[in-house]
Amino acid sequence: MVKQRKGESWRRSVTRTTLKRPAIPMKKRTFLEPAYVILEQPDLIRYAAASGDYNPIHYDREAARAAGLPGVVVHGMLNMALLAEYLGPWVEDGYRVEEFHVRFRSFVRPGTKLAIAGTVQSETDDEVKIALQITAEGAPHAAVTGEALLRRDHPE
Amino acid sequence: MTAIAPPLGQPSAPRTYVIDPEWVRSFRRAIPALAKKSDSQGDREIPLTFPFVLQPNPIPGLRMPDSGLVHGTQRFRYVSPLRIGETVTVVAEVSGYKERGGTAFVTLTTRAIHADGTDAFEAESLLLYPAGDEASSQVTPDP
Repeated sequence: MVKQRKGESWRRSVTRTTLKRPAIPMKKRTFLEPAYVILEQPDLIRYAAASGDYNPIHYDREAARAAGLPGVVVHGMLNMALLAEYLGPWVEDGYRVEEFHVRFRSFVRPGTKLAIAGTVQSETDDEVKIALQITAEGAPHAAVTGEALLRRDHPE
Repeated sequence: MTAIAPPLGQPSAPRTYVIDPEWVRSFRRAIPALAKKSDSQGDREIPLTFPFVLQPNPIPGLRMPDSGLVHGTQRFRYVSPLRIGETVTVVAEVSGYKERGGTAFVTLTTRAIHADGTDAFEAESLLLYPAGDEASSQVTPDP
């Protein structure tokens, strides 16, 4: 969990929800409970500083417009990081992520409510494959889609 | 415009990083948490996308534009976990290139190895840009 530093005025703009794994055994294509997040400009600045990605399209509206965008956009890798966070309950359950890939389909704007959702594609005692997506509120298609393969050595 | 095809398989000079705890902590703090987790768990973990900040050295002969570069896909294959305080070395190469409809598609593969020479992870990025724009500059891809 993030602790606010003293004097830090940035409001964390994230809606926190507690993710829970559905009861085992799961059937194929189990839909998981979505998590919702709104990223604001300070989140993007914080990510730029931490990742070293200072591309101005993530904080400078004019630079973003000059690049043909409607305004500043969220770092693709921050979107991917949100999907990685969504896998947290499995990691806490002893799984390790072996493969994780995403496709960035459209730009994500700050200030937009994002739904992060997953579907269990297949699951055995020691392996689970999860399809992932981020969809902006009101958008007809997912902005980011992906898939993760997780394994664990000693099933409970 | 004529595109300048990048050199396939030409490796970048190795680049070495020490996985600094403060660096990992600030990266972790920059990612909004979706779920409540125990503090100890959070402190042990190196975020799954942290490997992306371990950017390689420039690939000789690879020219890509500063602007108009789009990150299309990203893939990680985790072989063995990174550990706080360890030293890792990353080497990248262009593993794929094609042009279609005036767009250049470059696939960069970055491999990271632990100090003992074993594999840590492999990262693959697909980057797109208007073919012909690469003449404007020589850069490593913006993450």
